[in-house]
Amino acid sequence: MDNQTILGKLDPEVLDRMATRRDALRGAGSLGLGLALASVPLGLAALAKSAFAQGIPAAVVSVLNFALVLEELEAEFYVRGVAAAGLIPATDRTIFTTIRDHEVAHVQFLRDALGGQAVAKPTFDFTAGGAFSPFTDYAQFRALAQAFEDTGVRAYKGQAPDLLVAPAILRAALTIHSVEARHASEVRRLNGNFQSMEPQQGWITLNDRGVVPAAAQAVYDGEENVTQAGINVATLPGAAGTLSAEAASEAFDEPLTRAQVLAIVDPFVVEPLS
Amino acid sequence: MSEIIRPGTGELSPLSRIGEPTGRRGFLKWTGVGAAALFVAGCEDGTDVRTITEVTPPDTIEVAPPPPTFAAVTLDFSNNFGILNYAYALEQLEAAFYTMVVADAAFGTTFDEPTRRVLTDLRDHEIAHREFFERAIPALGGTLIPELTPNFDGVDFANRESVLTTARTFEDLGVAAYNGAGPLLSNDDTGRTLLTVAGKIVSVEARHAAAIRDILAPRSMAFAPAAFDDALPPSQVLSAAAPFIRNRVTATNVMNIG
Repeated sequence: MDNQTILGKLDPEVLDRMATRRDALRGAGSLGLGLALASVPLGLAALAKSAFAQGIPAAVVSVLNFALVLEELEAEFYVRGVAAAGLIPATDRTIFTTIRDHEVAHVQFLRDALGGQAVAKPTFDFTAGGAFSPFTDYAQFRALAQAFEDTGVRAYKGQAPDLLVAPAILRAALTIHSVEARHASEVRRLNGNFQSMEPQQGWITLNDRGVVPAAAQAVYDGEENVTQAGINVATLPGAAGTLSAEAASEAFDEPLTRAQVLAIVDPFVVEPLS
Repeated sequence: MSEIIRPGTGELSPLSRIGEPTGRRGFLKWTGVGAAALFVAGCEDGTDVRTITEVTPPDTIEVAPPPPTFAAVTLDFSNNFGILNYAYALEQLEAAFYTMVVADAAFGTTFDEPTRRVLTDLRDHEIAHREFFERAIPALGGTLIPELTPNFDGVDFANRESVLTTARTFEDLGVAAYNGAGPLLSNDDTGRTLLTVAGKIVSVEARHAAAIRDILAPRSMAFAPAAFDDALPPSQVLSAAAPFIRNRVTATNVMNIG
């Protein structure tokens, strides 16, 4: 796996250069806009168009392209998983078709917002070089789904402050962020057979990865933090006595930096043939 | 007026203290009664606390002490502390709700074991959020709004459907509230820090919402009803929350971000 390939291009400066080049090559048009808006709410669709029309600040473009790559990864993962014959049992299909549809809608929204500045869709390898077989092994599919969703939540959270400069775009990103958290909760609970037993509850206990493979421990590292804005939440009063470290960690999700997220998804991204 | 009224029923306890032993900060419980004990209009730090005058119904004078009034609260959204107090108000509501849910005598029979675990976790998470804001706001230099008084008259705590649908309302509302308020924070270092904290909380509220929704409608698409969650302006959130809070809570100076 080459770290300097597609993920290297998510460096803001490289992204900006790519966008500029594509603008020059293709013009600023956004083909397929009408198609893409089917499942995006009207207000957001208008935002996507107006954000593009008004010119998005470069730092915001960079964040949105970062989000776009993650959404492309998730969307393709679920499109292929739902399409894989015999993979998902009938009882669980609604869960994954719902998530698939949402991720596809997120991709559409981000592409519309970015217009000609959107990065190309990467080529994904969900076997991570042969380590996994998620489209023939349902347990692996569910485990990777959990890892991707929990990572997505952390990724949006880490980028949100850079969107304060563009409040309407921040608001849109937050409405995606919380949906990723809903997905994460559902997949986590599915992986725990809906028994709500640690560590497979809807929320993350300490840095416990649960069913997620050890190779992806980085998805959960740092989630054990209990100090928020200088306040140790595990010392505060609970219903009886002091809040436990488990509860204090569960009550707050933690952000990841862009570099941390890229390191997590790197094994699943390959350089596109071009 | 100004009779001393003793805390009597849980219903009249302040929102964030339901289920706690009496005594801790109990003096605060009744400072809003009658006279203008809390009159801090137009504070620089974004809180604007006023009492409201409420006339005692004449036909109750003989049989009961006058009903307490509840300090009205105005949240100034032009100020980060107004936004933090908005979150604090909602977390007070949620924490009080789940504390009553878990403390109910019928809790063990109303819900199955997995659901009890979920509701108990939610109680602890919401308490963590409330206690965090209760310390963070003063630590950052702001002034806390008073403890609010809940109104759960419409909730049957011994009824599974009643509790779970109310929980769904609160969790979805919390998500929409944080999503709507985050972009109102200041675009500076303080705002960035606060947005990160708010982001840490809102995704947990969304995890809660999905879990409650899944319990109500297992393995359906209910856990995430749309690809994009709501982001509601404070006025809409406070209107939706109003039936559950005895205090009148309003928002002012809310930036229109289009």
